[in-house]
Amino acid sequence: MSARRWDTALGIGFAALGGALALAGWGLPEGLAGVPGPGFFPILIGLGLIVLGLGLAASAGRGDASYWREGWRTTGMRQIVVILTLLGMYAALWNAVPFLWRTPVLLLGIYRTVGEPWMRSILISLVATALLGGVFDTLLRVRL
Amino acid sequence: MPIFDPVTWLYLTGGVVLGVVFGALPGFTATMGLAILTPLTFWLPTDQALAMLFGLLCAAIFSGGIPAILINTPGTPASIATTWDGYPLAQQGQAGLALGVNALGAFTGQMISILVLAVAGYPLAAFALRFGPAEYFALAVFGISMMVSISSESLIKGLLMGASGLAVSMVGLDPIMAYPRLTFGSPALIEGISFIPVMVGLFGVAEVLMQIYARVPHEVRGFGRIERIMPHASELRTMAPHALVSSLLGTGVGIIPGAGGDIGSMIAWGQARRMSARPDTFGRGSLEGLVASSTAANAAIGGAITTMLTLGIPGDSASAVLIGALLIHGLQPGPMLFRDRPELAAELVMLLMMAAVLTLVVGLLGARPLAWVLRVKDEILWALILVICVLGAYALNQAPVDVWVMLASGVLGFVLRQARFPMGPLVLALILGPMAESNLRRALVISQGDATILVRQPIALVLLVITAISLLWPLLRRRSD
Repeated sequence: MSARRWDTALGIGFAALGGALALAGWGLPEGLAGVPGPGFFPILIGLGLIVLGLGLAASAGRGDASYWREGWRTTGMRQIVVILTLLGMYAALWNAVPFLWRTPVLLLGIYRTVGEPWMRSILISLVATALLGGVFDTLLRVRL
Repeated sequence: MPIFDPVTWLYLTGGVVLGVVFGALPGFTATMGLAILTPLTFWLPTDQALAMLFGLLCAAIFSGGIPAILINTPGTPASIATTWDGYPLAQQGQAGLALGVNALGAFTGQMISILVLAVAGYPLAAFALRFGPAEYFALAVFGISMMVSISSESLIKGLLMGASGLAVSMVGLDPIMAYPRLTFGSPALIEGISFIPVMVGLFGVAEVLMQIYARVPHEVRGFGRIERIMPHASELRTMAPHALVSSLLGTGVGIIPGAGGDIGSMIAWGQARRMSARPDTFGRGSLEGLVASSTAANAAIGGAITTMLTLGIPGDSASAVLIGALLIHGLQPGPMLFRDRPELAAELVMLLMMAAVLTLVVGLLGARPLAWVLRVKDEILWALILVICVLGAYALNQAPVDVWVMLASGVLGFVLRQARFPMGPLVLALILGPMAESNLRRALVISQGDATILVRQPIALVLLVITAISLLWPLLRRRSD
């Protein structure tokens, strides 16, 4: 996607967010005797986001220049999607799978995704899990 | 007294070691290190936690100069100007001397700026005690606007980020009437969105994703032999005036909200060139140029912390994260800190000095081993940083919702940074949002709804005028061009 389309899409997105914010602000109680209530700031910021978002969309540059370094890098984006999926699953399985099981799997998954060899990935994943478990669980008393 | 506490020194050393890693690896910044480390310090006593964070900050800014000198790649934005003379020196076989001058310059800059904080802190805080709600509102708006006007090539993108930060800061109970807002009926959002997971996502996860996306195959970064580290007395005499002037310039630039060590070091380098008897050597391996850039880059730390501690507004992204750290330890930066807890303000100054001293020791004694940090593969660190981000975001409140907030912030930060949106204004607005809103509404309560109270107070008026000028300046300049 070109920078122009990207800015237009993001500008419209921000304007929509501003619209939702302003609408939410209208539903909040009004203030008394000219003093603004809880809805004042959301409405103010919401209107600001609408104006700025539409301004960004309207002023989006022309041409086909891309924001994405060296164009769209399919490999990099695929790796990011895989890593984010792994992180999402890690968070979703927080209470279902113990830390000592899910963490090395996550680390191994990320290392393999970025192209590290199997043996190094397994070794670092196990050592790092033990160290992180020691720091968070034993030292900081965080229930993982 | 933290100076006599060996445990504090231990945590300080830990912070310095982490700071060296975050500063020396190109792409990893002091802000990122602070954002990741802050949640982990929640369980520590305040002085030990701050020792660790200050150690990380001082060491990261210093060690950003190591790759700048050895491989011509700045480790942090503050060390961009260090490449101009540091790398030519390394090419001439004087890498050790350049690393030594960088360490000495960092120490001088940090110590002088901390002394400025110690001397100017109380008068500045006493002045700020005169501030009422109108002045605080104007100060918050001024802080956000400075960050917006400086940090982005597009004013409208900076403003959008600032407005988005303000929007996120409104989630939870309204600060005056305690009425729930934008919580979508979720009890998890009643207390608002914690800014620590947002910062960890924006500066930690997003940065790693940026590096994975745009990565180049790893190469072992080579550099020459490291021999003499300490400069001769004659060289020290030549560098001393530049170190002093650059320290004051760097501190002054650091005090301005939004301006940091990157701008300070470039200004100081230019000033040193004008002052030098041999300006033609600048950019070709001048020790004067190197000391000016490294001194000013590090002096900006004390400048930014002066603004943060006395006025309660962050001078740059790193001090925005530090404000978060102070808040989770129950400390509210601002003039009241100096009035109500002067002993704590003095302790913070002492911790900063300890961090500067330890950074110097590590910088001089560890010049050779520090250079080996550059050989650590980015791929090894990415996975570790991502997992630490997840665990750190969770650990603070032990709430899974924070992990999701952090991941969402990371994805958002990745997408927006690719589209050249600056993250600084968002974080600053997230922190200063409640201050801006509550003080604006308090001012209107006092004036019974009369908005002219904002321009009837001279300090507020001056701050709002500067805000307007800083935001309109790019537009006026474009029109005049």
